[in-house]
Amino acid sequence: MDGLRGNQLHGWAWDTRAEQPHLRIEVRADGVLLGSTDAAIFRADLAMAGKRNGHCAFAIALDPLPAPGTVLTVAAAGGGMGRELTGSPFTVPAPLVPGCADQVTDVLPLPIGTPRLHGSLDQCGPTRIRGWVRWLDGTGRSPTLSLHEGDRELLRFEANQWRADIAELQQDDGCCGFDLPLPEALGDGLLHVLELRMADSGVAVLQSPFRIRGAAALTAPRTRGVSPLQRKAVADTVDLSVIVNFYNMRREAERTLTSLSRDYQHDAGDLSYEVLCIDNGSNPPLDPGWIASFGPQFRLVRPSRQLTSPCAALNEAALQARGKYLALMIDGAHLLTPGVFHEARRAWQEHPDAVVAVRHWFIGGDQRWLAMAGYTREQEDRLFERIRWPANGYELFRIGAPIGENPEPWFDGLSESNCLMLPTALYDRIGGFDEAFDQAGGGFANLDLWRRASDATNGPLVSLLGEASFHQFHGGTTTNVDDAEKDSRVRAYANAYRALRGEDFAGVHRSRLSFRGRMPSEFATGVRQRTLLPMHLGITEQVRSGQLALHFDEGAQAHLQSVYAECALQREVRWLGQPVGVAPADLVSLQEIIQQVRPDAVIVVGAEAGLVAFIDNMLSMIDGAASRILHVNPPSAMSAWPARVTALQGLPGDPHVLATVRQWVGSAEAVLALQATGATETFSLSTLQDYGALVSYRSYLICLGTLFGQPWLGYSSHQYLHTIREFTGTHSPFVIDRSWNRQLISTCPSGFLRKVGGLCTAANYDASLDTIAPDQPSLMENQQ
Amino acid sequence: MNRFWQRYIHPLIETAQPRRIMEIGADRGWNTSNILAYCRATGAHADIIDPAPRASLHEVLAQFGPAEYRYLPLKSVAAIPQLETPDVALIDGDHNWATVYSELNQLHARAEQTGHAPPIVISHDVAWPYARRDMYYNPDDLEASQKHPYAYRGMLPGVPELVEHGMNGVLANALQEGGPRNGVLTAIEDYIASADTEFTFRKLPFFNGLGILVPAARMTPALQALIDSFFSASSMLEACLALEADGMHLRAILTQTETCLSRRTDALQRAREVIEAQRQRLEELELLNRNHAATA
Repeated sequence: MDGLRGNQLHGWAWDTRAEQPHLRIEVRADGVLLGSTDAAIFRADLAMAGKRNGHCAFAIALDPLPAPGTVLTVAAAGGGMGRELTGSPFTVPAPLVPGCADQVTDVLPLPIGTPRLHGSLDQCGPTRIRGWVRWLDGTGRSPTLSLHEGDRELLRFEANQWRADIAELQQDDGCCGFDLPLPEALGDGLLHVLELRMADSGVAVLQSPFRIRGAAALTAPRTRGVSPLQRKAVADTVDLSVIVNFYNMRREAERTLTSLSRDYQHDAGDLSYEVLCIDNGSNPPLDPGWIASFGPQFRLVRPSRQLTSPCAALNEAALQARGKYLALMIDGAHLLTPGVFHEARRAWQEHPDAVVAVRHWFIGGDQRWLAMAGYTREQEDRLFERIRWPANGYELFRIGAPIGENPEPWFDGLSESNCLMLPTALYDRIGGFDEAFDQAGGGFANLDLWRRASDATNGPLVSLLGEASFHQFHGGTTTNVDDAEKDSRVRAYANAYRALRGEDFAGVHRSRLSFRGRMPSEFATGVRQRTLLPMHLGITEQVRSGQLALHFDEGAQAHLQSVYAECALQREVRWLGQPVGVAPADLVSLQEIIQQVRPDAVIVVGAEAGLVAFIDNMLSMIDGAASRILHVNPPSAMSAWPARVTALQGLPGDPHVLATVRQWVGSAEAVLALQATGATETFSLSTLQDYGALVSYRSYLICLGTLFGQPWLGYSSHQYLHTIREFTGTHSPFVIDRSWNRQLISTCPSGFLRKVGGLCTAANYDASLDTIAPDQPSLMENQQ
Repeated sequence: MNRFWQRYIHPLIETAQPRRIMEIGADRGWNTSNILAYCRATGAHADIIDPAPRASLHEVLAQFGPAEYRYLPLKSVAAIPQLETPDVALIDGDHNWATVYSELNQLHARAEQTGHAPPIVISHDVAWPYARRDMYYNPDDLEASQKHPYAYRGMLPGVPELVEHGMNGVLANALQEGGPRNGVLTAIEDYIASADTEFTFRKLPFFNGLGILVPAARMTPALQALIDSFFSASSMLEACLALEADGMHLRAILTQTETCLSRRTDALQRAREVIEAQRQRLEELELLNRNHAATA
């Protein structure tokens, strides 16, 4: 018995002597049966422990929960003495906290299982319910589930969302997931006992009801409110007040203010607006006359208090603003493209309550990285000169790159905007910037403002397309420090946010955004394919360690490899004039493995002749004169095999072939095996096990050609990976060694399998093997 | 971590008197047994978290009952947000920055949510080899951005790169030692730096290292005195004795292994001779057979 969770008694049981399907477990108090169930639930840890392949766990709901002190006996049914489980008799414990014994929530995931379907309830609370469920008979219909509290149905939904993990696991379409918000009725912070049922039949799909606690009580007490701002009425209002914050950035301010000028912003001739320029303690200070030189609507604002965080200064300036709308630019190093005001006005004409967000880009590229390679403010100035800025503001896209690594720069969700434009009344109502964000630069204050505005607005959240703010290179708190320092600061900001809001920060999902705009510049799209203006930087001399996954994600790599395979470029790779059938990087990997393992025997199953020749050459180069190669089931006849190669015709899984291979390997100490993929009779779990058994400790079994087109188009699949996963699963001595797939293009992704199990230690040393030919003592005598 | 129990962890727990303990990474259950014995003696309760323990953990758990523990066959990052804040957490799970930093942050966040102080955290592997180098029990469990390039190769002290014949070559170790977001100790330091909380952090730099992290809200004079005593000359001398005993034990195992290897080498030599004898005998028989056929 593992214990009591909520009102469920958990544990596991099986009978090692019997072949019966499952044990029936019964719970009794004073001889009265309180509940029973089959011990048949799967648990991975029990599988790992060798307990009936993991299918022997149970969960029995006790409803009502017996009073504390009640003695329960838990036993397998049908037996007498000796059938009681370890841990029984069990006394229902006193509450951990007086009065709260029944206040314990269940720990998820919980397995979903009926005779007809299976799945998992992965999450339920504090705000979402998530999991998957599918029919066991393979039908394509989506199960419809309902969530109940007592007799009340709270939610009804179809399990029809696509999940990549389930698609791969089940090798089907994977459209059996669900992930949706919990109903508001559960957001009261109280404990709820819920049940998940089949919507049509009402049959419960979980072993028993489960307990969850909604969001409110977890977060509300810790969530600190922000008081609304109190604004004095002004007579001479304008349409828009831009509030831009500067701190020691005179150079950057010049371009930023230019981008806010009436001459630069398109269609701004009839727009009444003002620009309030905060100088938050610059040294030397900004000159009011210089500020005013950008136009009559520009004026300098000096905050009444000098704080490291700009939040108070921004609020102070906002209260001086006369605009019906505000545009907040917390970092004055961002300059704008020319259509920002125009698009914002259009959005407000369509919906006066719209909140308009401008996405942010870098000038030059990722400035943290560029700074390491010699990028300077002077270099940046040259970029501006090359596009003759400000003649055409959209030329900024020629010299910029989106901040962040998402390959899609326009339609992703949004965490922050460095030009956030919203109704002044909304800004006041949500209290503006939260001055509790007191870190230098404001920490997550700008993210928080966007988040709160998005939650509080009655209007649409408009994300502009084709317009952006561009960050200039300067000594900002996170944009111009190295990755490690930026990481450290962001972590501290994130924790400070959580301390203030009681939850981790989450950006606004793309589904909540409206998009408006146009693409004035062809350089604003296809950002991965285009070339920036050339500039001499020492980038090729620098190594950006550990960032590959961020800058070239797994999806991009899968796409690249699929295109490679579909164009069959591996067929153009040759060794000494013969096809090898793998990518060049795989040849280099194989060379390194041969040098590392120094095999006495190499078994090659179904590989191209050029690859066998390559292995032969490599063995010669490492002085492996005695090393041998066995080529099983060669795809084509060769006129002359290298001297060390023995060819063996026949299917790799044929028992006679296998016997011959085992005999050929004999007493070789270092054995390497390569197996080409293909039809199931040549590449299967069985053949992997057969040839894997011959591979020596710390050597490799290399699966050639595991790459297989674009699985997301449906005409291909991860079938080889599925087989490999089966092979490397529980108790396998092999692991998938992905370190050989780092060169981006490999025709053997997940195909390098290393044998790391099966180590002989002093503890498991079998001394009986030291006796040679124990059944032939006479032979030894004859030798003497 | 079990080797720290008697001299360090048990006194820490006796002094802190936790009512709730969380163990992340139970493996064989050696330390679990100690924890649950404490729970049985004091009425405390433990949450034992391990998604893939050795079989022997279940034998350990079977000696105790639900009054002492709740076992969760989940990954720590899935379990922690659902559990009550412990008073003491023992961390010996997946030895990499992303996991340990998440565990510490989740424990902290959970404590904030429920109005408790963050737990006292006792972490294993804050010294070589995993203080400044990630290791991934199952690399596929982590997203690409959460892990460093790795290989199934071993480690040597003072060598930042992996080497084929180093220690723990059966595990997925980060290719390079050091640098940002790498290793258990780095994760703890980054957590301390980012949390707006005052901590005392001390580490015992042997047996792979034990980190003791105590938030100011849970520090007491007795606990402070106990932790300080771990670093006194007499305590360090005791540690030297334990290390010496451990070294001698390893020497004994090495001797045993060398004995086995010598025996096996001798046996292989004899096997060669047997095979050669059989080969010669076969040749003789074949020759006899041919002669017999020729004369017949």
